Amino acid sequence: MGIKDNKFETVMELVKKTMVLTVDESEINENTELVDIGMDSISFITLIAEIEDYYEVEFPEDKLIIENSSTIAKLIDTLDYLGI
Amino acid sequence: MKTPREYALVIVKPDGVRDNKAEEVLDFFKNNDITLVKSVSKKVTKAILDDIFTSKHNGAFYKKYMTSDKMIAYLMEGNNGFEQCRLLKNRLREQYGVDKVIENICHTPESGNEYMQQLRFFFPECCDGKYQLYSDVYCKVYASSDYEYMKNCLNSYREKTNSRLIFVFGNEEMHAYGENIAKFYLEDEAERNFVGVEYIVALGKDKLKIVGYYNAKTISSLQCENVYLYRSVQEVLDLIAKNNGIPIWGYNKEIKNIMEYFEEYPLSGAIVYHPLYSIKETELLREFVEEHGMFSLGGSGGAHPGECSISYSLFEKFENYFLQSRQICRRKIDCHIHTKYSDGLSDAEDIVGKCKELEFDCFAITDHDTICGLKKFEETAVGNLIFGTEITTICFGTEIHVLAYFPKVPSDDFEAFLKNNRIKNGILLHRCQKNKESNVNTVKDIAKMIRQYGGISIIAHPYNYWDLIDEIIDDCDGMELIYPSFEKKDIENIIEKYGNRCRFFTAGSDFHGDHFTGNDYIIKYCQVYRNYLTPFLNYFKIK
Repeated sequence: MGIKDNKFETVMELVKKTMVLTVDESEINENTELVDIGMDSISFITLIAEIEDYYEVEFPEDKLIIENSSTIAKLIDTLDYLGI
Repeated sequence: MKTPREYALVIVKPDGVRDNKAEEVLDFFKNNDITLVKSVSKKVTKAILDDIFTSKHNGAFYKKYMTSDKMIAYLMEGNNGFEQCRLLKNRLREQYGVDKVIENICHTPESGNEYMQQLRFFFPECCDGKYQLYSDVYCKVYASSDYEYMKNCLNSYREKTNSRLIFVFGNEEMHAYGENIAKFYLEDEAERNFVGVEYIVALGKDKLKIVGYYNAKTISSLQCENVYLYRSVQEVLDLIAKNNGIPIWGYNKEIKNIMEYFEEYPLSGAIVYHPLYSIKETELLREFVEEHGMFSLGGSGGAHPGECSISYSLFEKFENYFLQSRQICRRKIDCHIHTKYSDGLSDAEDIVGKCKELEFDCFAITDHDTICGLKKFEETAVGNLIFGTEITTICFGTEIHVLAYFPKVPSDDFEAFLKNNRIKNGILLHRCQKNKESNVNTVKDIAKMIRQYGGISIIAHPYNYWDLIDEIIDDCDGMELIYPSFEKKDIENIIEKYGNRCRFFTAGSDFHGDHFTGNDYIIKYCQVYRNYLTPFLNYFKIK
């Protein structure tokens, strides 16, 4: 659980870094749809790139589509799948 | 429409005569509605062989064979006779199973000077102007300030030959006596007639002759200038276009001039058959002209009216072309235009409106990774608009743009695909920048997807990634051939290197601005290389 919290925090940091949030950070949880809080296709690309760089992984192709990586939970699932 | 009667020559070659096939050959033509006017048996000597026969096989064997025995020449007549005899000759050879290129029973001459020379050799008594082919399209004549005198002269030329005479006047004559010429054609009963006006352009040491052909019935409104020598070809072409005429290369003593200047100034055709061209020159010029999709025309050009004339089949092609010339003469094509739906400055409506106004034959809106602006034009059925998009792909770390063209707007899920693709490419590109030795290649997948949605894939501006073309060309359907930054040598280089591997070639300006007015450079080269664009236009059923 501790590791997962850690991942949530890291991903949250990267989300904050790559987009201008339209809500307060405290309102965001694992299942918040990122497109609802200010993500567009450009910031999505940057976010994935940042996550890949940070963890030194490459997301599988099907996760490079917004729908399949649209919440922090989904992003963490992918990281889990990649063995992080 | 009933085709006119026309004369033709059929010559039984030495092997046919030797094998006693002459009678059979004659019967074969007679059975196919061709009638015999006269026949003669004559031996061709080596000395004159080259003057009257053209052949690609000019070796000793050919010469020995052609002069080995007598030939039998038939002067024939029939509906569309010249073309009919040519077709029947091929059928006859098939029937006899002849596949040799030299010993092949019989021969029919080319239009123009070859016919003229062979008629003169075999039937000298028939050279009185009454056994000519369908039309003398280059019958150069003089006008006069004395209308009656001029009219009598022109009519007497017509009486002396069976050939349909298309008169050609010098530009300065047209300027001086235009009223009389217009009056002549106004009174003239010939339907659908043409008039030629010859312009002379002085370019350095070269003098080039260009004929503008015009509809005879509108000749009274022809605008002409009091100029004897023009200084630029373009000036003459503009003048001819302004008057709705068709520009054709006239007789030019140096045929290499036509070949050189053709590339720069694409005219619609050339006078290929002329009494002053040797048969060899004619053959060279004819091949060049055909290769470049131009028309072969011919005529007496100052010799006896009708003396050198072309067959009805050649004339008919020219006549049909004339009737549709507005569409074909200047092909306006631009298949690479951006709008506000991506990074262009124009509204899509403005582009479509402007292309309609400028009478584009074919244009395409190709915004980056989207087709969202196109749906509304599908309903209004704008003719000649091709639905496109320019898709971002990656090959070995380099961004490659692939143009996709569709006959109808693809379904909405294609738009979703494009959006996802753009995102995916952004991430892949980021990875490539990190890892320089990336071997990611998404071109193939994209091309496949385009095909699934019923479109074709064309590599945009190939010189941006010339080193990678070999890797991707076989996955795509073709590439952009004509582009603002491509010079003539670049275009030819593409044709030479990839002509065989491209199903389609396209032309596009990659316009991003506002106030679209058409790109003259693209339009000019579309004319020069129009043959290469034809498969693409055919695919989208653009006439």
